[in-house]
Amino acid sequence: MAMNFLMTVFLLIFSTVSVAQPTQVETREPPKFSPAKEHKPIAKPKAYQRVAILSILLKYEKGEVVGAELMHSKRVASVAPKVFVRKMGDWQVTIGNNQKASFFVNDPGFLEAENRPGDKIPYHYVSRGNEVEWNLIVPLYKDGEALDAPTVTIKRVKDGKMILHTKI
Amino acid sequence: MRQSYFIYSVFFLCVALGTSACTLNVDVSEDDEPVSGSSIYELFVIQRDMDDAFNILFVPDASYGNLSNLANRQAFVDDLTNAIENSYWQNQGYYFNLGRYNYYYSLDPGSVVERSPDADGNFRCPTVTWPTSINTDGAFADATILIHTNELRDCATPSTGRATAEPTSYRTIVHETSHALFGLPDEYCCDSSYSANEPVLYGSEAACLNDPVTAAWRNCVSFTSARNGSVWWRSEGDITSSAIMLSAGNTVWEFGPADWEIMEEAYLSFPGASSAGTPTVFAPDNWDRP
Repeated sequence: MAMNFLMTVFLLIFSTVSVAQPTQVETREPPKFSPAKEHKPIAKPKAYQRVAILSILLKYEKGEVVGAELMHSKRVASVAPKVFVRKMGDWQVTIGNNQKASFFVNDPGFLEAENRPGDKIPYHYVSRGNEVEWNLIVPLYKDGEALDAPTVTIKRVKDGKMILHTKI
Repeated sequence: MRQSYFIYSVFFLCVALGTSACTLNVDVSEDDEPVSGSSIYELFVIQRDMDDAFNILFVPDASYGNLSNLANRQAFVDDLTNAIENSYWQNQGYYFNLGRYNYYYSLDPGSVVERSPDADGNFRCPTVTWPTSINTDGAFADATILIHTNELRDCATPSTGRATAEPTSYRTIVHETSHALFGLPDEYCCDSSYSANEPVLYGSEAACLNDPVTAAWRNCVSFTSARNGSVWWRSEGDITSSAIMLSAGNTVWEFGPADWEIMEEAYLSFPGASSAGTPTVFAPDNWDRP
């Protein structure tokens, strides 16, 4: 066990040293991982780090969304998923009246299904039916600050159709 | 005690990205403590501030058994580290930026059950049951993947970042994660939920041809959606095979340059980020991690 420990520490220290390479392949230093003394527990959510968990019932006809209803919502302390990096998509979700606090999602009415092994096309889309329960996680903070988020608005991008505007 | 445990628990060896293989081994321990709620544990966490990383959560199916049993948990964790090495770390867009990823797993199981075709013989997606605990405890996750050992055709929910996969479905794990994290569009024709997603997909030829971002390499080629007849222009028209958002097969293909534009912007959005690990290989060229 002690030998394993020493070997591990040695290799981890060594792993942070870049080594000259004889080939032309570009090299990069690996990220610094703190496995030993410096290892710290994951930070607990700060006071501003909260999300709203929305349960939305969507209604579809012929593959088009025709209705949406917020079934319930809950605010919890949590780090948020990085949804703000998604700059385009089928639907736009806007938090409060802040156009900068918006992100994009795919149409929840469809699943991406694997095709048969051997097919040249990897996937196809499958309708989830006329009623779809959709769980949407909405960040209640951005750039280290809490968002004023009394409402959420969801619009379809291609035509601006209002899908849902609701208090949360 | 907790710290001394962790010295032994994660073996992450990496000399240099690009010319040597990073390897990852995780030994579970009864001293492990949940990091969110009572069921979510860290698998491999580089960024201690979760806002500084994409956080990927794995969920077991019941075939792994009760994960309070350490042997069962180790078997699941071994499948996960193998999947990380052979899926994400087999693609330069992920591998060259592996410091931006934290991985976690849940002890609570879900299930993925195959369904027979409908009366007309059409494929039906499996019935998927997620553990309720991840709705709140796993709310932080950018992608959540339920790993199951029964072989079947999986379905993903791109709108929620949730997918199911066998532990060796490396290509699907990367493909679906790329939807979830970056919102990358599908590039295969012709049955997807297409929408403008620049600089990959454009709603018009003019928009595709006039985007300065793609000037150095673009080849705008159109295709028509089989679902609604809409026409889309793809900037990566030269890439007709061997791309992760386009192609089938068992290989974890690389990204195209347009995909990378979106990914790089995402990586640079992290607090304090000044650079990202740009791939040296783009689709359709392939790359094998040394």
